[in-house]
Amino acid sequence: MTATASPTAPLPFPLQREITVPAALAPDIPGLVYDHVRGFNTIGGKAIDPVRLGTWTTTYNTAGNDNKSDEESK
Amino acid sequence: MTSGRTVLVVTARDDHTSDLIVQRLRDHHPDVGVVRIDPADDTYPLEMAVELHGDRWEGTISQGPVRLDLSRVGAVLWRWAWDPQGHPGIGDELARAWAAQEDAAALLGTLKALPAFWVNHPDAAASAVPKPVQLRVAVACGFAVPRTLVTTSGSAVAGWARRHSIEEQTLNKAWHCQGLRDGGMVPAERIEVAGLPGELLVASMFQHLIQGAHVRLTAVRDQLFACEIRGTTRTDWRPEQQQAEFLPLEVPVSVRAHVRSFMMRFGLNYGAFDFVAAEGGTWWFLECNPTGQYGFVELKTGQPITAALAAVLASEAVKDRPEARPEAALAMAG
Repeated sequence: MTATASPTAPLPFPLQREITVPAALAPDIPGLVYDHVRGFNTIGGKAIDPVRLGTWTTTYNTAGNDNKSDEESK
Repeated sequence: MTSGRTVLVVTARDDHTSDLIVQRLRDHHPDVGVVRIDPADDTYPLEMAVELHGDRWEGTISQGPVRLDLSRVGAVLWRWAWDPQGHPGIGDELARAWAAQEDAAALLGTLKALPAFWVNHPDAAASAVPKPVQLRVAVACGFAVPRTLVTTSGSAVAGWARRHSIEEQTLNKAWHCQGLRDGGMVPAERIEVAGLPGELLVASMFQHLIQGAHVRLTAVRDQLFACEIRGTTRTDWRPEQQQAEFLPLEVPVSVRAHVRSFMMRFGLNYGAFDFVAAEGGTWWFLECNPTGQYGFVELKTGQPITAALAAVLASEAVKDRPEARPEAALAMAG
């Protein structure tokens, strides 16, 4: 007879150790507008410098998300 | 003077790393045009009119003010290409979802068939993603790879760790780091093997935790940008990325060769690799993300990764490709 998981079983390992990380940065940048013609994001019509804005400085859950690869490989 | 060739960038509009690359191409490579498409952007409906001529698709794909002439595309940067959402004029939700699938098959399929230089062809990238495949190929390419076990059994982990005398140096890494909740992450962590439940309820990966320095290596074809990551206290540096130091690092000759071999095996022109550099000089392969982020590395190290990517795309875009064989790169994978 095959054992089955109880409906009250704990979260599958390793999700029991999920941690909370800081919120995404990119969506909260005021005035950010995507310029379809030029192909990049702007503020006040000028290209942004993502390095200075740090829009990718998290590795998860934001524009700088390693896991936004198609297969969520990280 | 322009070459008449285009670099096509296929990615989400919130991919700010691609903002940098597009700007770099526009500012420093005026000989090529740049067209950026976000297949999932429903601000403007997708318009396509392409026809098979010989062994190539010709015609145009438009998205509002953006118009792509397929015959001009010489290089493609493919990053976060999500599926189309369906024409906004289709009111019925089910019908729109069906139309979105049709659009995806047509648009993404046509783009994938382009005979261009790719960073990376999505099929090549997808072939390199499964971790079990990566690890096997990494070994075949000469990398040192930590002992690895995949199991649903906690007692099997305990036995395996005991057999190799690594009970105190075993880590678990989830296949996906995104947790159940928005903002949740499941980092790689050292575990107490004796404390594991007998049944894990999920197929999990365990590895020998190698002691040494965290290394991120960003490969742009044959240009390698490596850095050591310092100042973190966790097994996994990613949750502490903000406070970490990133220091440029020379890449050992043997590692260069192994990286090159790995990328050729999968047909990749870009990859973000993670290693542990152990005492004695061995770089232990952890993983490679074919569409991995690099913006934070450039920010912290000043390494000119954007410039390298733009230069490769621009120089390859102007080359003639007499044979329309986008699948050629894929033949190297496997």
